[in-house]
Amino acid sequence: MQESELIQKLQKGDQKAFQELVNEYQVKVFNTCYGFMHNRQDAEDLAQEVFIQVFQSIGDFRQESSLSTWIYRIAVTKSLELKRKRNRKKRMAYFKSLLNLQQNPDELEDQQFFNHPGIEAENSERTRILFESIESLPKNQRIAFTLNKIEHLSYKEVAQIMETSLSAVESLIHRARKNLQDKLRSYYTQN
Amino acid sequence: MKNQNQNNKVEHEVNHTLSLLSDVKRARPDSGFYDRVLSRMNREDPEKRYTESPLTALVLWPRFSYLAAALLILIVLNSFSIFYYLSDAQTVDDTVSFNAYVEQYMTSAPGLYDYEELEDKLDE
Repeated sequence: MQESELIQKLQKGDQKAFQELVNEYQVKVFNTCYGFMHNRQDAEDLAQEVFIQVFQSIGDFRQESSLSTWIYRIAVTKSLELKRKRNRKKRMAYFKSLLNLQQNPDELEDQQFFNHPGIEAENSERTRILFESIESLPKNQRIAFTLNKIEHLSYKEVAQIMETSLSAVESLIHRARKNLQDKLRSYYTQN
Repeated sequence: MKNQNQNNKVEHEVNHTLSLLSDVKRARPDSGFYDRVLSRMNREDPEKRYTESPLTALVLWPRFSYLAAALLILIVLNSFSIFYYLSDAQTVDDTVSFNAYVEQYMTSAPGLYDYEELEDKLDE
């Protein structure tokens, strides 16, 4: 089915078209969410939310970008929103734990699941360090780097999703890589 | 010299860790993702019911358990009837062969009340 035809059917609330959309994009959306959340359950919940939002707001989609770009944008926005909420909650829990002199349970939980199924288990420790380093990058660098390296999107696609220029994405990814090298260097020097 | 070795080792670790990104495979959701999305849509908006795949929709149908129970009872009754019919057919076969025997050795088939007499004759 052509993209324009798919969009038309979706705008009419056609459920078969929605099923086709989910089948085509589920791995892309799930993997993108996983790239930001590093947790299977969160990625599943977020991916479901992304498709529900797509179904509910397809009527507002003005086709100024491709359907894929629009869906990726929703996935990235939702992932960052949840991440922000989690960080706020974690900060609160941290302060509470300081007051109660207890260990922060969320932090322990995060460390436990900080992994990626696309990387072999024998590299799990390296993966944890790598994703922790990616996590600490500035927001735009993190988005560009995750979309390019984890979701394997081209610079052009990343630029469309982030609504920025190609050179800006090149620069973001270059800086992200340099920052990562510095962080990893610092980690391996200390350990 | 020791510092140089240490730096080389660190650089090696950094490059090795970064190289993991070059062959990272995509994470995939578990199968049945579409049905889970629809179930969630139905949970969040029960007034607009979205239909799942035919099998899921059938299983989620509120009267599915009654239908399944009724079907099960029908199957059991039918099986019982078939079994009963087959054992009955065996009796009919016996009667047929008995009649054939009577036809071969006697002029007419015995009536219901002639059985006793017939059995005595056969014993002799």
